[in-house]
Amino acid sequence: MSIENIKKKLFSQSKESGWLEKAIWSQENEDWLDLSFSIAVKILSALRENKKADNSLPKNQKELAEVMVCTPQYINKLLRGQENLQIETICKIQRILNIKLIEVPSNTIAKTIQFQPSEIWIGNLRSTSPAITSVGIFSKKAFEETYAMGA
Amino acid sequence: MEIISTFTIQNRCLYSVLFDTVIGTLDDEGNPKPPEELHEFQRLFNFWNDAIALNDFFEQYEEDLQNPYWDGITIDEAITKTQKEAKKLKHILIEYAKNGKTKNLSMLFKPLSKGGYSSLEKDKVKASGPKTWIRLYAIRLDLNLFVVCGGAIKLRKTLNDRDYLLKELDKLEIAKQYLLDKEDHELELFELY
Repeated sequence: MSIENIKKKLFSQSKESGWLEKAIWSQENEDWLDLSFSIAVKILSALRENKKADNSLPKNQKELAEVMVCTPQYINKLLRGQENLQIETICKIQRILNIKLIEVPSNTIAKTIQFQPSEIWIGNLRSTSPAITSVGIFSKKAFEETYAMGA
Repeated sequence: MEIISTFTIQNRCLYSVLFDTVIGTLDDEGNPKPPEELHEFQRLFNFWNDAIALNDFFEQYEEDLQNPYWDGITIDEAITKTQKEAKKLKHILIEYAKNGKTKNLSMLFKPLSKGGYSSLEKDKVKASGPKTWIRLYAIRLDLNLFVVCGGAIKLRKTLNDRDYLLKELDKLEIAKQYLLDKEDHELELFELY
């Protein structure tokens, strides 16, 4: 068969793969898919470490399913790294394996506080306080504490 | 092992074959997927994005991973590296498909030497900067027309000393015969990445 005939056969007989559509979908969902994959890698790593240690459980997918009280099929699906995981599930695995899988960065609030010169009356004395200008980044906790004290 | 059919990845540029013995990938319910969905190109992208399959693979070939060439990479890092390489390749192919830059496919594929390894590949790896290990193996029918017949995570210098790599060479030969209809023509073998 000539190369031209091979090409004709290929063009006419090949089925549509749908690969591009799937690839575009996974590209559009890459943020959570990547996170799911990273979580799966970390869980697999913890199971591998437990396997090396004598007394640690769970050591494999089956044991993890037992402790999680779910089916091995679900664990298998989850560990492939393409599952849209619930936060509850992630927290449960964190507790069981005693590992950190996700963490939300602590909040910081950028705040500009300007204290205008104010007149202060003490008895019959009248004075003007100096202008105080403070620009800083406060942690949410510190910010709340500051304003709670002022309130 | 036989080829059942061929699939279009990019019209008139990139095709993939489906072998009759495809194992490994499961659907969302954990059941084996029907073979129609597992032509070589899709099977490889599924494999490179499957944390369990990659974990099993790197546990099995941890010895190859410990070669100084791979700079002491751990299994966890190897899994992540593979997924990232596959993602990069996916982005390139999507970009080509969207912009019709299919002629550039010939720039992605490099000739595969008969022994599966040559100084050419060594030079290529060195020249390309980061060491990549995912591979697609294909037959070239025209300047920008490739048929993907297999692929691998290539941890060894040659394709000749690991069963899973030797199998890829066999698949290329089977695909060649399938396309040629058992007639004797010279078709070139190529690898991507």
